Amino acid sequence: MKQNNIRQFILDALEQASVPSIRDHEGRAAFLDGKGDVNFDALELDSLARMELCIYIEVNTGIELTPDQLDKIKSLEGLARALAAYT
Amino acid sequence: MGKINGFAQLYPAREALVDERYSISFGELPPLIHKYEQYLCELGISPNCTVGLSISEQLPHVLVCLALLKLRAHQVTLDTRESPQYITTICDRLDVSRIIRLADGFNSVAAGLRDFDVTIREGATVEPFLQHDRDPLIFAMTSGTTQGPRIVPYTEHILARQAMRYDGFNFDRVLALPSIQHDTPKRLRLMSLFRGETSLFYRGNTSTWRDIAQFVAEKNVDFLRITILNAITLSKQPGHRLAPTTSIDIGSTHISIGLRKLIQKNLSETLYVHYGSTESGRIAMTTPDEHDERECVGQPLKGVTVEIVDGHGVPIPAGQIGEIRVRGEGMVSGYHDDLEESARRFRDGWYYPGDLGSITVDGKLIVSGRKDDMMILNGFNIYPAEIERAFERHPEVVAAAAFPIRSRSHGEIPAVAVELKQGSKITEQALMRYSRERLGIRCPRKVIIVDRMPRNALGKVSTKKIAAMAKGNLAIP
Repeated sequence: MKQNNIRQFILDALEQASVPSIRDHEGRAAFLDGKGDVNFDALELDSLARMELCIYIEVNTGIELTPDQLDKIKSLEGLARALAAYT
Repeated sequence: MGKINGFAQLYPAREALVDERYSISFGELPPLIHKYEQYLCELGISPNCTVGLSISEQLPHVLVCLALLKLRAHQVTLDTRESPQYITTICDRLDVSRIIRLADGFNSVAAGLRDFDVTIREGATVEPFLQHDRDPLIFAMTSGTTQGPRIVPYTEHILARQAMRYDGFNFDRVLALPSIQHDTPKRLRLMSLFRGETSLFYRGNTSTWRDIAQFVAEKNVDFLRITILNAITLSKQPGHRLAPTTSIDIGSTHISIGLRKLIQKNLSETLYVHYGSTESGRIAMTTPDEHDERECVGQPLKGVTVEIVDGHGVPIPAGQIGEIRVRGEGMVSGYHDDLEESARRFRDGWYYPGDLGSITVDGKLIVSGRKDDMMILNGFNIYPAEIERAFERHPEVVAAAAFPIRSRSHGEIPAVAVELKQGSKITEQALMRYSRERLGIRCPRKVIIVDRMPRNALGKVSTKKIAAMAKGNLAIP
């Protein structure tokens, strides 16, 4: 699986999880190109958004990532690496 | 048989059984049943043995069924389309000792001995296995577990009581499109006879509405029973709407307001939608003017009491969703060879169909879905029917079936399979947005567009097959 597909998947997941801040985030394009990263703190995910993000990942990939596990991941690039490790 | 004999005395010329070739009046029926009974005796079938009917032709199936009742033998339909393994399992569970088939088609109502072929099953006992019940039993299959279907034993008396629930609905000539090899339409045909109605059989193509409409008009059918599968196919064929004096009856599964409107537009404006189960018979039925967005199944029928209860069995107020329970005359009291499930479903004189629903302030029943199907996503109760109704109101959606994706972390994640109208280009993402706006936290987290909804022979959607399809669809591209 290509890394940029995983990055696009993460951006889609955040949109589905109702994280509007990702849409216009200045780091979005750089993350997609693999040239930058975005910290979860900057996206201000509430608990519902975290749950939705985990659900999106699970129903679309079969990867079970719990909100607790997600809490330990600090950035989108970290999430991309975690997903790549599962696949 | 007393009911039929009574109608034979009162209305000997009234047609009882009619198909394209034959017409048997109520006056002719008792001697014909007696003749068939004699054939069966000569073929070695005796009272109390259990007989499998492997007859796909409708008219001889009914005649043999009635003859077995008269002979006081128990019976079960062995659907000729089922696998040999399934048939063997059913025969073993019921200790079937004889299987009746037609030897060479059905060539005459006045059939002779040589028209039947009876197979003797080795090892079966020719004894009453339900010693306490002297009435001959008809066994019906209903959805079960991995161990096979649940088997529901009912008697002629139970059917006669169920038939009384239709008092007030005056139909004379009843046609059921589904095969007599299905237990529900078989019961409907027997009940028609017990009510003195004419039961008609259609042997033509059940996919062509023009031909069916022609048969209905020629034979003066005034009550046409169809399945959802029939309805989906036939309601797309405009131009032959029936006269308002002919009613259409549909049920056994959720019938959306969209489909109801399509049936009323293209098939018949006089539409009845019912709710019931094999165990209880028909529970509720709408009148033709009760179809609205609430998608109710009407008021309980005569002699049936319906309650909505909470998890402790306490009735809850109108409008609140809870578990449906029913009681009344004409219900079975348990399953064959399944004490555990019998104890779960039949409690304190009530039958629990396993459905969730509510009763409106004006007394109409709304079925929300199967209790077992209710999904709990991180503590939120989500009802499949709620999702399905939201999607089926989308102008480009024909049918929707919600199902859970089971998750160790979240419980049951709701998902939905959607069948679109022909030519629709709407995407799964657009449908996701649509549902999120309407359902919020209860929206499905996955939408799958399917070419055709997988359904069983009676049109019920197979959510197991859909869930399997969803499982095979997991990957980042």
